[in-house]
Amino acid sequence: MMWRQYLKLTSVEFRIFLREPVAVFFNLFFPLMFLFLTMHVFLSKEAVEQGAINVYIPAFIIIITTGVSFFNIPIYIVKYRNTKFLKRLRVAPLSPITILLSLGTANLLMLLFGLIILVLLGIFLYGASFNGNILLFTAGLLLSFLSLGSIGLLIASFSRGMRTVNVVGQLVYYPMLFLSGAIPLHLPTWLEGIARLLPITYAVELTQRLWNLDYFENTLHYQFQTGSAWIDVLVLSAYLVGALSIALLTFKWE
Amino acid sequence: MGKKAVIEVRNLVKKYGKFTAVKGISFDVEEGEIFGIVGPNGAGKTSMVECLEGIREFDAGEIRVAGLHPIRDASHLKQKIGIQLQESQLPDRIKTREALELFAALYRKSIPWKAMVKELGLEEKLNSYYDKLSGGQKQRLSIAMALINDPEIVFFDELTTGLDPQARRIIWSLVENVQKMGKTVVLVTHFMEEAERLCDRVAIIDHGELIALDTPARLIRNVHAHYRISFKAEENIPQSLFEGHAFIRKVQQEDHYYEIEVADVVAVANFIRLLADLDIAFVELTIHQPSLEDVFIALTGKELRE
Repeated sequence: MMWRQYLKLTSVEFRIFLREPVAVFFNLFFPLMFLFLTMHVFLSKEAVEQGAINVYIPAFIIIITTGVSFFNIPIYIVKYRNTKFLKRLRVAPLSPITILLSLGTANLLMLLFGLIILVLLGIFLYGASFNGNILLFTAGLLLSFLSLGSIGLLIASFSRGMRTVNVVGQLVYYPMLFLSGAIPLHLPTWLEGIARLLPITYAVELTQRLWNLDYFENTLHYQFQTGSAWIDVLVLSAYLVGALSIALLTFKWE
Repeated sequence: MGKKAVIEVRNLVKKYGKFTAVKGISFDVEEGEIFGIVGPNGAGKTSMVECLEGIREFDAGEIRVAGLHPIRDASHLKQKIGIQLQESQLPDRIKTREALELFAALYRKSIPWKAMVKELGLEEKLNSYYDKLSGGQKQRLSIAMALINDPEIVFFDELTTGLDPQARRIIWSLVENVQKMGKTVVLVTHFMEEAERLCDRVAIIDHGELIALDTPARLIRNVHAHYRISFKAEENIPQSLFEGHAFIRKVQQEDHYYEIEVADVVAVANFIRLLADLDIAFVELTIHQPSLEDVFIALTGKELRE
């Protein structure tokens, strides 16, 4: 019974997301734009030839994850709350967990949709190759999504109107984007210190490590941070537990 | 009556902090009737109904809906009732068909909805997005969603608010059909005309209290509401002409406009005959029959606002 409800709600949600051109643009095509800019403008020819694509593909997957987490998740929750659609769902014999899991899964599908386009383009246009373990990579990506998605849920818990969601989303999204290391920028040391506090930095690092597991030490272009992937996992898990507990405790259905 | 009560409410109290929204209300809803709950905005109607639906916890009193406790037996109760929420919207980009399929999948049993969609006039709109539906179509869809689990009791909250008169009339006949299907209907409205036309019995709520409960006809009879005749006279009528006629209760005049209050239908006929006998030329004559609206004004001292 619960399974059927979950599948039905998830599939309807996902279809609704795909029909929103603005959401599709910002979540899926905006990261692609960054990919093209990075490969053709930001990076030196030498870096591109040395396989920089394999550093940036996982980073841009995290940019998509962040967009889905900080925009799509809170925007839809607040919209559904304000139009009383969440309340309408609660009136049906549907558990709150099913509702939240469905919303989470539909957003994850959105992320996978963007990921597939990005990876295919990366392979065909720039010769990207996956050099890791697919199970480990999936687990790392899932952890990153859960961690960033929980922050999105938290934004939804604290926002009443659509305007707030948009402003908060952008205030969180853009700084994180530029500080995360996903985009090739040289940061002053003090900004790097701030970057070390942000979950997205660890998500980028983790997915980059897991995408390039085989070549970990050999990638010339990117200065890998010292420290192991376990630190990334630890920090992301801490954000996940913290953000999720506060979000669930303060969540309002109407 | 002596019919089986499907909803029993005893001394229901609902508080929000220090504010008491529902102050000890008791009533029964009988099987198969359309039970109206009317009152001005903020009277406590929605609070009360949401306690019955199991959406809100209540502070004191007893409620049984289809023999179940709305909070303790919530998951069982949800399968047996259908709900249309006040001001609830679906996502803009959901199609009519998807909304019906979704809600059908949420219940243990659901009816084959194709026939219902036809009856509700939504057949052509199955592939339309929600935000492309008119107000009336949206409400018809919300009726369909409330009926999809073949419920015993259906709750409609402000079903026709914001609709044009034509769309409203269509909805009314659909609500009557719901009753013909053998279901009990609880209808929350602030339109007296709607309650009078549809409801077998009406509960009037004001300031969280039940101030009257009866059939519309009996409510109207009991408050001794008057018929009002209004017209415009071609020239001034001396007030003395209306004196000495027992059937005239009250005369109000503004310029050439008159409003006369009389007790009943016979008095209306008498008055019009009087106008003819006195050779008074008049235009724009209207007769206002006493309605639930008058009952409401008589009982609460205020007019209902839209």
